[in-house]
Amino acid sequence: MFSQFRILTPVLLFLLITSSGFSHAASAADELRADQLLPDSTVLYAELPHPDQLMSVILDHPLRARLEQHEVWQKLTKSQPWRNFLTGRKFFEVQMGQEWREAITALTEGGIYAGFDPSTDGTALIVRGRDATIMETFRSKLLELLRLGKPDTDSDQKEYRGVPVYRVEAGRVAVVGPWLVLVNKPEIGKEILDRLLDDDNQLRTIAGSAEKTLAASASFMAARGARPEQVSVWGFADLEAIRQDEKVRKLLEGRAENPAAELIAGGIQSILLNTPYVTGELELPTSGIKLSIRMPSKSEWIPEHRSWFFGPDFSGAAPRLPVVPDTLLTLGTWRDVSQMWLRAGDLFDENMNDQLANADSTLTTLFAGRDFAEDILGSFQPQIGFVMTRQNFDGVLPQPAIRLPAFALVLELREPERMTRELRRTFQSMVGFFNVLGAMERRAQLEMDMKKLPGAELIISSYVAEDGEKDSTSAPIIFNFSPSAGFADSRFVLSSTRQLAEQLIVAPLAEDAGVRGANSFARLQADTLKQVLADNREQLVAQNMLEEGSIQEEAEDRIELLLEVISYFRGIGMQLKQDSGSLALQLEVNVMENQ
Amino acid sequence: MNSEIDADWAWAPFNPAPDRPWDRRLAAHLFRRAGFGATWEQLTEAVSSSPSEVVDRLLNVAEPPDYRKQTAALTDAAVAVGNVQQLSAWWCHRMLTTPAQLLEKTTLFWHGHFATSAAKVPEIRLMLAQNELLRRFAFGDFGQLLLEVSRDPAMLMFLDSATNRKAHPNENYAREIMELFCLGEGNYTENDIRELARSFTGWEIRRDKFRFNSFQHDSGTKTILGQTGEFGGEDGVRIVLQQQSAPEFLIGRLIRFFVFDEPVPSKALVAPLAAELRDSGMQIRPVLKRILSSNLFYSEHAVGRKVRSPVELAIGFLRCLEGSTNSFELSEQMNVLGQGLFFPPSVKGWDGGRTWINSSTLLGRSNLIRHLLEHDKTRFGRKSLAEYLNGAQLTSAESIINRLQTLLFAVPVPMAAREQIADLIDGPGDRNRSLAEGLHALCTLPEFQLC
Repeated sequence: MFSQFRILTPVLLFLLITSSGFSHAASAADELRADQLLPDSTVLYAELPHPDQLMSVILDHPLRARLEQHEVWQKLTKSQPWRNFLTGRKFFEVQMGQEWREAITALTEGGIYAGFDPSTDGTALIVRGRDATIMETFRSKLLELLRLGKPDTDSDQKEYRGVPVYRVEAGRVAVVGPWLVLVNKPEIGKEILDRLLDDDNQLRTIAGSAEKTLAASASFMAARGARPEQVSVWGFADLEAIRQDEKVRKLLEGRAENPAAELIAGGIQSILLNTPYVTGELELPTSGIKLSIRMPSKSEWIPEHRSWFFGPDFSGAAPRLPVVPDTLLTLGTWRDVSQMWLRAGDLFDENMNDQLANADSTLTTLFAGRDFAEDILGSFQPQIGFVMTRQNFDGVLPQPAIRLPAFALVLELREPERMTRELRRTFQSMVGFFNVLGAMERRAQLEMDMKKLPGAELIISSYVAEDGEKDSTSAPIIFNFSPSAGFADSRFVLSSTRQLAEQLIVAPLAEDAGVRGANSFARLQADTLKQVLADNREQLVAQNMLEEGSIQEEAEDRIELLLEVISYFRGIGMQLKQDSGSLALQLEVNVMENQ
Repeated sequence: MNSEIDADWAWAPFNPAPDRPWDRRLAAHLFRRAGFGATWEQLTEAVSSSPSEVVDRLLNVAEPPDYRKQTAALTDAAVAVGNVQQLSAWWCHRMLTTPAQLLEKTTLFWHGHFATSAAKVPEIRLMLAQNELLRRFAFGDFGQLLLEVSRDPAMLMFLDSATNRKAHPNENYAREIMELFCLGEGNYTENDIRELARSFTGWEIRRDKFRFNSFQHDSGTKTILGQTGEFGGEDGVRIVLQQQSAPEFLIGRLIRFFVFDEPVPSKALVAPLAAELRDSGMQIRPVLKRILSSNLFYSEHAVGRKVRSPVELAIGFLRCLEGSTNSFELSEQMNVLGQGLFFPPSVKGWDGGRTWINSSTLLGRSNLIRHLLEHDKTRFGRKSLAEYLNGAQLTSAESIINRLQTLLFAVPVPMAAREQIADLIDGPGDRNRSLAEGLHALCTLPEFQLC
């Protein structure tokens, strides 16, 4: 029985901070906000202002009914850990004298807050309950529980300014009015209790006052001023303070070793080196999860050698992309890659520059002596699009055993007339090159063809199947590919398959899907992902049998579960956007709202 | 030692007697050699039949259609992924799950006999095709198997014999067919190799397929092993097979794989089976049946007289306890211990016997068992070890050790070790942990290395 109590202790502890306290402190404490309790040296702060709403979104979500009908859920509810959980929950309800959701709502009604202060290495978790009574009930029940498991609990109790402080594991817990405070270091705990007990609220909200709190710091005030009203979780990081750490500063000032990392995050690194703070917002509507990370940004913070990242005054916007069926992933960005390549000397370390010089030389040879950075990369606009779709093999032979999605780059030519000829020739050379390599490795050869469409032209290559392979439905993986290039005025498509090239070169551009003006965006469609995985179901089952040691039925169940879980989602989206002096990175996971 | 063994007695059918009863211990010996191991239920079923009937079943059991379908899907997946690690894992899984254990064990024998390494054959379809060829002919006509192997793309690529022109006959394959596949050293001359190589000229691999290039074939007269004529490759294979030493060489190999590692079987011991092999037209099944049903096979000359190979160690451990695990890691572990499937060390295959054991591999074997026992994917009868043994009504340390001894050991576990292992099994704390410690300790005993 005691072991069960011990399991419950952390849960109850979390809720404890809401009880004891003195009535004389309650009035002052009632008016306070958590950020007014933390010192201004706090560098990380997070708040969950309405836990009840968050709980409601999760527990009352329409998907819950679907989840509860699933076989796996049914099994889980019959398991011993689940029965233990139910026992613990019942115990909690009995102790609190009310249903568990009501109790948790009451215990956390004023929000949950956390902060980290590097000056004391102190971390604080602050919970504000509905009132002192509920917190007192909880505190007393928790203490009873602790005493049951450990008779000498009293020795872990001390007082600070008349407030009982309990030592639990490495932490200390105290309750003042509706507030529960849990800290890892006494210093930060004392500061918080002092503020809760002092009736001097005004000082804390005035910047530059003698008593400095997080709420009064300039960065925090600016960040809080931009905080949206309705967020589930909000966080703040004082970057100016964090950058004082030498390791952090070196990391932000360092040169990249990896061009891919530079391409993805180089400009953001420059902003992180200068911006005073970063905030994070988590919204949980019934449609999914939306995480936004924001930071003040100014164009002067972007050094000249990174002007290729956002464009002048953050004007670089990702392109609208052609809309094609069965889209799995779309990705758009604005990056002047030609400039990046030419500025490599300022961006990368010596080792990487040597590797890039070698690559430049090889690529220049491959592109018939044309300079890779200036003539090839420079012939495209900085708007870059990437599209991935499910392949349709209906009526196509041979069919590969593993069915990979098709993918394509969608680019804009700076000088369409001249570059179409150049790139057509380059593509033909590339196919020849691959055929030579393929012959050396005894791979199938590519056969070239051309196709004219209204206003567009395609250069197609496709692998030639051997005699015994022509009707195969389990052909090698290369039969996923038929590398093709498409030209339509300034639009250039370089695709892994003929079908996708043909679709993309004539498809209309997408309407503004909420990403207009974004520097970068990405979108993954869950329904197509499910189809792609279902296309490879047999392979996935086989892989699962070999990796998990499962029998076929078990492996099939696991893959079915994976597909089922994916069907709960609509997709995942991301965008990077500069707006009103602030750079925002938004990540969104959309779930199905209907059963 | 075997010069003292009476060949007539040795190959006569084994008839259980009071001093050598057909019990679970002997049945387990049969399953370890003619497969990888048996569960308690399989042993119980086996002792209700005669040894000969069990051998018949082992030789004739067919994989059910569902299993074949499942295996085909796994094969397709392995080929589709296209890396040889996937293929090794696939074979591991097959060895662990096939109902046709003897077929798989004999395929492993041929893999060591016609050793071909994926290290030089990167196209896994070719390695798979060879594996399927070995399985197809595992119990069949050795002459046909030899001819097919002689034209097998993986084999010829492995021996750098993808081209063989009349101007420069490639002697690699001609040498190996005489020295390693059919006759053994001392039964041919260097001139025989040169002449046989001439008969193979024009045999080429192009685009991963065998092709006879008549323009590159030396159609002149050759003298191979005393026969003269305008021989082609097929004639060369036939002439090699006609040699007196061919069945003797092959029977010697079979005895060493299925009966005992040492010493080299005497001519007198080999002779009756060699004659039977020759008389049957080089059919493997009859001699295999005779070996596995013989007095010698169930005698003290054979039981516990072989060192477990890494495959026998790992697959046997799991099969006896209805175990399953991550096949990729299992195949990698066996590779570390020197028996990578599809990666024999040379064209001579694995030396086997005592060479499996040295201070390094002994530790590695112990680590392999520990790895299996601690791996979160390892289950026994789809359960934890404790649940599995409880389900078999095995609760006391003594009953557990007795059961494991019958299933896993060819020779008895020493009394002193039993006591220590019993202490581990009855140790305090988590039951699964205690059982795993006890089982691991059992499997690190020198006795466990024998089969």
